[in-house]
Amino acid sequence: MNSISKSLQRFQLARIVAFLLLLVLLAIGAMPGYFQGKWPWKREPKVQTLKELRSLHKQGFEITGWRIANHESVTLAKHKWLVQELQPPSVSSSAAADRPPIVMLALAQQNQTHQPQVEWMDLKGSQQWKTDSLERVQLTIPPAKGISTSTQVTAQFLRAWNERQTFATLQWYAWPGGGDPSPDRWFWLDQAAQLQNRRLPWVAVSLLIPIEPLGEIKTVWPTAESLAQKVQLSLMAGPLRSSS
Amino acid sequence: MQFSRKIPIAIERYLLDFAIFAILAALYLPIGVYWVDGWLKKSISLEHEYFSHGLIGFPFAAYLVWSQRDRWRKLPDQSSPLGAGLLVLGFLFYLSGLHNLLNLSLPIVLVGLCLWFKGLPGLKLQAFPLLLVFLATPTSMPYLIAPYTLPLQSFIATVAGFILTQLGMDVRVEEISLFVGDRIVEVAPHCAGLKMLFTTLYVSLMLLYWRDNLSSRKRTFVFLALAVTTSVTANIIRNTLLTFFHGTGREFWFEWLHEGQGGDLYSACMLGLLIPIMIGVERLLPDRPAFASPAENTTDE
Repeated sequence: MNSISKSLQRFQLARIVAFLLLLVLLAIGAMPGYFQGKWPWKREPKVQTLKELRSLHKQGFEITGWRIANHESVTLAKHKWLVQELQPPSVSSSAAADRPPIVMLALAQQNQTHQPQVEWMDLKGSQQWKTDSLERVQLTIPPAKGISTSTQVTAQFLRAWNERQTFATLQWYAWPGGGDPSPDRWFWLDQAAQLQNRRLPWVAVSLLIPIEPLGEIKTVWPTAESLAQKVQLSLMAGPLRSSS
Repeated sequence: MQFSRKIPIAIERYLLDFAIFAILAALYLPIGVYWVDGWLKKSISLEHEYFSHGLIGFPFAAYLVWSQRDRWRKLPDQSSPLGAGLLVLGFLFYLSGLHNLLNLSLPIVLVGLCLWFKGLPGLKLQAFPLLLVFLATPTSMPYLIAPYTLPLQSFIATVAGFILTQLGMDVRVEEISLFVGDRIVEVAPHCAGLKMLFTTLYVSLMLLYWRDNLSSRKRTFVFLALAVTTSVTANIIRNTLLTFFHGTGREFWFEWLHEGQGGDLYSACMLGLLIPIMIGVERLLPDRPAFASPAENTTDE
């Protein structure tokens, strides 16, 4: 009999422990919701630079060392992309006119819940591209004005062509302090940022460097690399500056 | 003497049970209301809608738990330390401020309570309702798998394109895009019928349980395979029709089937089909004769 009452007591203890744990959770976790309407799903941290991100497709942005010959806003797969034609300033304008310009396409986050998804597919479909030679490349961006540490960006480098033009294409999702072509990477970093009450704003960047029909993309890698570094830095000094 | 001691304990016990249940309700009812509102109004996110089968799953799970309350009570009390661990984990998840973790704290706390009150036998008893709760808990999982559904998308686009070509339409397929004249229909991840596939699997699971077929591996497997095949086939037909409507400028019908009542009708027909399929599978793979041993490990051949 004694052991039964003991186990009963122990069991009561288990219930009391569970009861107290849940009671504490109710007090700190749900009471702010009941009394102040501050439910956890309303307390999600916000992207601070959303206004700038939203207007990026109209405003365009400066890229150090490059001249923007033309910029416009183009709707692809229901989203407004920024399309900028770029020229290195060292090239005289008459020489530049001979060759097709380098093009940068960028899609910035449009609202607080907008997540990167299938931007590369959308782009490919809309341009009716065929693609090959896909590889992942690492970019290291040395510290610059206002950015104290060097930035690591992973991007995908590939060849894309349609009937009109062949491009060497460099694509990545840029965010404060880094970048990657896969939306998964953004997702996990954004979750980690939310734990620290921040969000991770993003811009999808695709650089299109014209090459000979079905030419080697390796030949324009130095241009792609240096341009990508400048783009990432410009974004990190602008709409993707880290908020703290 | 003994009597007078027993009664207060019993009251105390049920009072505690009731208090724990009330706190659980206070913790999770607001979230539940938020989920249901989001499912009915489609107002939270595309990912949230993937879990709208919770509208039937949660009530069914609650019914199952209620209907086996006597068996639960008869289980001996024992506390597994894993239960305590899960309760603490659920506690932290609830407070994390992350949607995913907050939502996941519901199944974690429920599993934790089962283990903490009745140990492993308790968890086993409630395994199926807990599975229903877990599979209907909204998370970002659909977002994370979307990039990997490309093969399914291009398969659907290819077959839809093939069917339309057979019907004499001028269609060109590029990976996941169907070009009809100057119009493009893209089989996006969410159009690939993933949501329908999830709902189909969820309802299939409920049907299997309800018809008591989960213990037969063969029936479960054959039924799930048929359900998935039907869902993919139905989605190919749906995308073919969508491309046909869009490509021939029948915008009204396109909208009707894409987001309007046609979409709901399509879903209802698809789920309705599961019942004849289930009956068919039961006829095809009949129970062993009554005199054979009913143990489940005798069914393999």
